[in-house]
Order: sequence, then structure tokens, then C-alpha cells
Amino acid sequence: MSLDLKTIEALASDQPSLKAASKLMKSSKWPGRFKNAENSIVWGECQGSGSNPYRVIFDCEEHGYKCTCPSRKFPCKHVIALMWMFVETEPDFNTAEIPDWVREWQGRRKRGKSPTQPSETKSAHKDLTGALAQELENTTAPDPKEIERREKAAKTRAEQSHRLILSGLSELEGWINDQLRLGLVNFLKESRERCRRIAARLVDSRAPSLAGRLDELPAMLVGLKSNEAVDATLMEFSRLLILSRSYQTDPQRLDVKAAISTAISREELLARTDLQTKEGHWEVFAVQTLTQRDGLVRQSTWLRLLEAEQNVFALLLDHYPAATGQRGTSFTPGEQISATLAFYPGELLLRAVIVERHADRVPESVSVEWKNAGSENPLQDYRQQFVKAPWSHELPLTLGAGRLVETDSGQYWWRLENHKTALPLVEAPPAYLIGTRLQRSLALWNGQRATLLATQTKRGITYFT
Amino acid sequence: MSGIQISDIDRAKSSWLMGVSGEIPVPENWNSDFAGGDAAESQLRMVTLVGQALHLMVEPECNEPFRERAEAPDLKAPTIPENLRSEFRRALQLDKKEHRMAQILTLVAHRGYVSHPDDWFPSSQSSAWPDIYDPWIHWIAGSGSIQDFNEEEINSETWQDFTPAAKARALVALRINNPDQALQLLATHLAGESAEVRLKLLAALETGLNENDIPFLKSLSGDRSQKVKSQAHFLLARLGEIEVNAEEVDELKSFFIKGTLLNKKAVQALKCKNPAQERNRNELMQRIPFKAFADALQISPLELVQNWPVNNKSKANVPFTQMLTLTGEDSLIEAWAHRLVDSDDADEDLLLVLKERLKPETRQELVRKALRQCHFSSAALVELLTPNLGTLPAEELLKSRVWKEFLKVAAKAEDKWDHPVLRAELFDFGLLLEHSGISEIFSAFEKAGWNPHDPGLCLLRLNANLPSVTVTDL
Repeated sequence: MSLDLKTIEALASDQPSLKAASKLMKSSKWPGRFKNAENSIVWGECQGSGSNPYRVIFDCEEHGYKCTCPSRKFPCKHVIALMWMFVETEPDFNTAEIPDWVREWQGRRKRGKSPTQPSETKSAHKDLTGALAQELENTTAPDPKEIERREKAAKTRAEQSHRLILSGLSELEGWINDQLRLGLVNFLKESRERCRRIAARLVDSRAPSLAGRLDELPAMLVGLKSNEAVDATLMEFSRLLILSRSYQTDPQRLDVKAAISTAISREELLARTDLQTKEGHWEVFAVQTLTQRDGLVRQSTWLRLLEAEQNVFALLLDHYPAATGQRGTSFTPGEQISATLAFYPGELLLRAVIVERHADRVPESVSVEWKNAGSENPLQDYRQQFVKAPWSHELPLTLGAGRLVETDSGQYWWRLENHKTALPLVEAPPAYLIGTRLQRSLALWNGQRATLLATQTKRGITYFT
Repeated sequence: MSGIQISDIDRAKSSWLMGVSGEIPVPENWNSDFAGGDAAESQLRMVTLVGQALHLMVEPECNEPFRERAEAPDLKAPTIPENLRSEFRRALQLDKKEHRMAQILTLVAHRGYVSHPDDWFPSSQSSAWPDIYDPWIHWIAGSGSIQDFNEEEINSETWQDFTPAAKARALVALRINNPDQALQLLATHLAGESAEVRLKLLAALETGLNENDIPFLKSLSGDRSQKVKSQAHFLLARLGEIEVNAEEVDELKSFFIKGTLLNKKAVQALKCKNPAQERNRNELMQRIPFKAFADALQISPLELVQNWPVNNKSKANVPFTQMLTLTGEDSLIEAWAHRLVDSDDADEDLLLVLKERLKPETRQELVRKALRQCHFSSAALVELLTPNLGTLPAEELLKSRVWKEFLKVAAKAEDKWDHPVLRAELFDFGLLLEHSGISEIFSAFEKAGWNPHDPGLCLLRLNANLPSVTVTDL
């Protein structure tokens, strides 16, 4: 497959692109890199700041490319880095069959077009060697006094943040008291405006995650009957208060801090000595995309370890600005991957990032059947998880054999085969599943209603997202 | 902390519902350590406890009875192979109009497969869907699950176990081998069906229509449904068993002129003076049997068909074709269909009017002929071939006018991806062609500049990879 450094230089739009790409020239940034000589295609996954990696493709013959990142530069730094690494370290790329997402891109490309022409603009000089040299300069050890100065500044900022957060939490607790005093009936009528105001205050107090929860609370209440809405409000108030008091007791607790302000970065996570990882074959069973009121899109990718005796779940969480437009998901429900995941610290291990993708395919003996039996006592399982992180909105569950039933008022429930447990659903399921025996299912439970994510019937596995 | 009672939770909730000006008393059985601090703190601790109790203590309870349903039934045919399901889903997205989706389902059904319900499940009781989905339609209607019986099992004992569409199919099959038995079943059970179903089942008598059917058809003159009565009337007309109103026949005859053109008998419709007259003429043509019309013109029915002008501009062509469809013999229908295809400017819609009276093998023959000879659109040819879609050899398309026109348009089209005519024709090709020859079509596409992975070709790819189910596969 032909490609050289001169071509890469020519394709890049400017020198800053090359410089940005040089920072990505580390194998730790690329959980997977692959090639297919027959089709002259190279592809890989590059870990950005989010949990889901960016998917990158390059056609060595026609010099076409694609990346799922939101950059408006073409080619972006990920494409340049992929090409660059391919030229310099091709043996690090595993030969593989072309996956569906690459094939789809090939299908959409217009054949017969002339190969992408290098940029003709007489812009500033573009030079890979120069970009590398600049990157080297930036990574040389800084002055010790400079280090001390930076650390002191960071400490001051952290103390200031802590004070602001405490102030914000105090306001939040006062606000909750006010809602109770004024009456929940009134709160439910005016939840939008009231939540928006306190959310704004929390943003000012450096508690954006907490602010996001207040912003989303009104939407959670839509469609609920009034008694359910009251319960949902009280449940969320209690979760918020637990977070507030947990932070006040232990401000350094990372899972609490993530739920109030921000999670640690991927780099910080991977640098931890107590990092918890899990290698294995994972199934993606749901991908949810939600546009939040704060203008961010939240993408939740739910995974389950295939071979585990006990259920092991993982959640990849990404946020990106809605203004950057719809971003393709990295994974699709039903997809199975071989990977090592690293979990964010906490009593409940759920949120994770992909550390490394492995080239081996998931063995058919593992992939065909859902090996773990569904639970006969899903609410018990939920409670065991919930007490570890009692501020959680919703948690994943497995459900044992059951059926979907409906009521005259148009509500749908999942009911265990022995009729001992029944859970109301958030929304109507696909019509044909009503009455069908669901051998086992995966769902999210929010304390009041279940969201079905996947189910296995005699016809196979159905993914709902 | 000693026991939290649901009643305590309810009391607290009631207070918070309308608002409280003072402190909510902490229930006696709650640990007094819990209460501590000022009123505001006490309130916050209570709401935390109540909220967590709602998470951990309260089990959901439904205050209405559950309505259970039977499972949606399995269909007789196997589902599309797993490796083709994504292509199938993409094909369904190409054109979301109901009749287009129904065409894809018909192609798939003709190969012996059905959709996985995850990929497509009927959302309505439309009659557009192929009959093989009848058990699902039945289930949607809330009629419960119904076993899909084999056609040869229909008899008086199993009559009620068949869905209406299954009954219709079974009766048609029975009419081929045992027409009298099918007639007997109709005579026994038809009256117990709804009007819509009676009409559907009566159509089975079109297969192997013979004089033994006459008494039963005559008995339907008392049917409650006008449509059923009309249908029986037309079937009797085909058998020459209805009384003709001589005055009406004369009136109809006055709208036409018969002459000789190039030594052939020619029949021409006179121009109507106004729309009312035209309507009257057309209504007469609906009522009067074809043979009676031919007799009035003093020519044989076959001569009438052979000498009727196929001129596309004639407004009488449509009622003529309808008249033929209602009361003409099978051989006349076929003759007229061939004339339409042989003509260079016939209206393709006329051929589609005849469709239900044409045998599948005749329709296949006409489609091949039309591809070679005339200007009929690929869409019309798909309609004509339905439900036997996916049976046209690729070489028939490759040497056709339709294909040449397609390539011409494709060569000029700036953006093939978005060209609506090309997209629609690709869809039609995907429905027409036999799976084995599609590779030749793909070679031709590549030469014409189409990317074989183009999403717009997904229906062709689906077709190419979907061979018919063989008996051993079932």
C-alpha cells in the first residue's frame, strides 16, 4: 500500500495540524490500528478525551479519509497521525477483515473521483520533521521553579473551587428546603424555571455535573402521574442531599466529586496506582444519546462482560457540544469487542474507559449465547448496587424469564414468569414482544420504572436502542 | 434505625405536597438521633431518608389488572438469513411508502422467507402486506394467535381455524384439483363471513370457473352486499348466464362505429358530445357483458379484441379493458394483453387493469416481451410481475430498452446518488431480477461508474444473496 511522508505533508492543511498530529503518535492513544492490503485501507480507533474512541479511516490508494471527531479541519489530526504512524511503523498495524463501519464508509464514497489532491495553497511551510521537533521541545523537562509555581497555582485553584462548591451546596440545600416549604404541588408546576435558576447558581459554584442533574429533573417528571412525580422528586432530592453531604464529609472522594463537578481526566485515571481494569470479551448492549438542556449531548454506551459468572457492567460516557452536529456512535448494540477497560474509582465500578482493543475476535462459543442467567430478584440486585452509590439515577439490571403485559390504561409492565415481581416500563415496547416469553433481559432501573435495553427470545437477541 | 413504616413516609409526603410552614414532626419510631439540629436540618434529613426508602423499600404495584396476550405467532417460512438482515433493513429504508415496502416483503416472501419481527413488523392491518404475514395481522387485530394451517387441510372442521387470507389461498389451491369441493365449502360457509371476507373468498371461483358454479352464483343474487352480488353477476356473465337488457345493448352500440380498414374489421368509438354522455357510455360498458357487446356489433369477441384500436388517446380504452376484465373469457384477456404490449404507444395502466385475470406464466411472458419491445416503465413491469417478483433473468433486462434508457440517463446524471428516476429504477431492478444473474448487472454498473458498495444498491445485493428456500431447508 503506497503512502509516504511527503504525501502526508502535502495533504495536511497547515503546520499546526501536523504539530497536533505529532502529539497523537503514541500507541497508548490508539487502542486499535488495523490494515487491509487487498483494499488499501487503514483504520484505527484513537482515544480522545471522551470514553468512546474516535474511529479513523484512510484509503492509501485514493487518499480518502474519515474521522468521527468533530474537528472542522480536513484532514484532522487523527487522520494525519494514523497515516504518519502507518508510514513509520506499519508492522504495528494488524491485518484484519474490513469491519462493517469501514465498509459503509467505502460504500458512501464516490468512486471514479480522482484521488484527494494535496493542498495547493501557498500557506506556511508544512513539515513533519519540524512538527516533531516542536513536540520534543515541549516535552523536555521544565524548570523546577516553574513546576513549583504551577503546583502552587493548582493548589490555590483547588482550594478556591472547594470553597465555591461548598457555597453552592449550601445554596442547593436551602433551595430544597424552600421547595418543601412552598409545597411540591407548586414545585411540579414550576419545576422548569426553579430548576434552571438553581442550576445556574451551581454552574457558578463550579458544580457543573450537579447543575446538569437539576437541569434534567423537569424532563424526568414529564409523563409521570402526579403521585409518581412527587416520589420521583423526593427520590432525586434525597440523591442530591446524599451527594452534598458526602462531599462535605470527604471532598477528595473521586466518585462523589465526579457527580458534583467533573471526573478526573483519562490521563489521570490511567496514571493511578490503584487502577481497576478488566480484560475480556464485551458486548455492547445499548447506546443512548441524549441532548441535555445545557447544550451538551450525552452518549452512554453500555457494555457487559460476556464470560463472567456474575454480571459485570461498564458504562462509557461521552459529552460533546450539540452545536458540533450529530456524531456517529463508535459502537452499535450487538457489537462484541475484545478489550481491556479501566474503571473510574468508587465503591460501585461502572463508569469506564477503553484502555486497549485487542485484535482477536470474540469466540463464537462465547458470543452466541447470553451465558449469565437473568435475575429472579432484580430489585434486590438493584439495591445492592444502589447502596454503593446512592446518588445514581439509574442502574443496569438483568431480568430473568418473564413476559411483557399491559393494562387497560395503556401502561406496559415486565413481569417475572412466576408473577412474583413486576416492573413498570418507561415506554411502550415493540408491539410484537408483548406476550412473548423473554428468556432474559437487560434493563435500567431508576427506582420507579425500567428501560428495556436488550432481550433474548426464541428468535434471538433484540436490542432496543 | 428502627422500622420505617410506609405510613410515616405517606404522612411526610402529604405534608410536603402542600407545603409546611413549620417543622414536620419526626415519627416516634424513628431514631431521635436522626432528628437533631434545627428545623431545616431535620427537614433535609427526613427527605433524604424518605427518598432513599422509596428507592429501597417500596416495590412497584399495579392497581389495575394486567391484560395478557398470546405470543405473536411464528410464521411458516424461515426468517431472512442473519447475514442479510442488515441489507434487508437498509432496503426497507430506501423508500418508506407502504407499497414499496410491501414489494420488498413480497420479493422476500417469494423466495420463501419472512422478516424477523425486529426488522419489520406490521403496524397496521393493511391489506398491502403479503398474505404470509396474515397470522401477524390477525394477532395485531387482537384476535389472538392463530396457527397457520397448510392449505390442503381446509375443510368444514378446520374452516374456522383459517384466517380469511389463508381461506382464500386454500380455496384457490383446492379449485385447481377439486373445484366442486371448494364450491361446496363456499356454499356451506360463505354466509357466515363478513361482507369483505365473502368478496375475497368468492374470487376463488375465478379459478376453474365452470357451469357447476352457476346455481351457487345465482343464489348470491340475494346477498346482503352489493359488491358480492355484482361479483357473482360478473362471474355468471362470463358463463353466459345473465339476461341482457337489449335496449341498453343498442344504446351502447350507438356509441361505436364498425367499418373495414385495410380489409380488417375495425371498431371505433365515436366522440362523446359531453362528459355526461361519456359517463353513460362507460357505465353501460360496466354492466353489459363483453360477448353481448360483440354480438351487437356483429363480430366475434375475439375479432373485437383483435380489431379494437389500441390508440393511447382513446378514452374508451379504459372502459373497454374493464369490461373485458369483468366478463371476458381468459383467452380474450390474454389476447388483449399481448396487443397492448405489441403496440408502441399503449397505456401501461391498461395492462395493469388486466393483471388479476392473467396467469402468472402469462404475466412473466408479457414482462419479457414488454422489456424488449415497448416503452412500459420498470415500475409497471414490477406491478405486473407481483407477487412472482425476482424471477426475471438478468439477460432480459440487459438487452432491453429499459436498460439502454437507464444507462443513457445515468451517463448524463451529474449525481447518480440523488437522481430520483435512477434510484426508482434501481429499486425496480432489485425487485424484478432473478438472483443468479445479478452479478452481471453489477459488472455493468461498475462499468457505468457505480460503486458496488453504494447503499442505493442494497436491494439488488439483498436479491443477489437470497436464493430460494428449498424443501430441504424447511
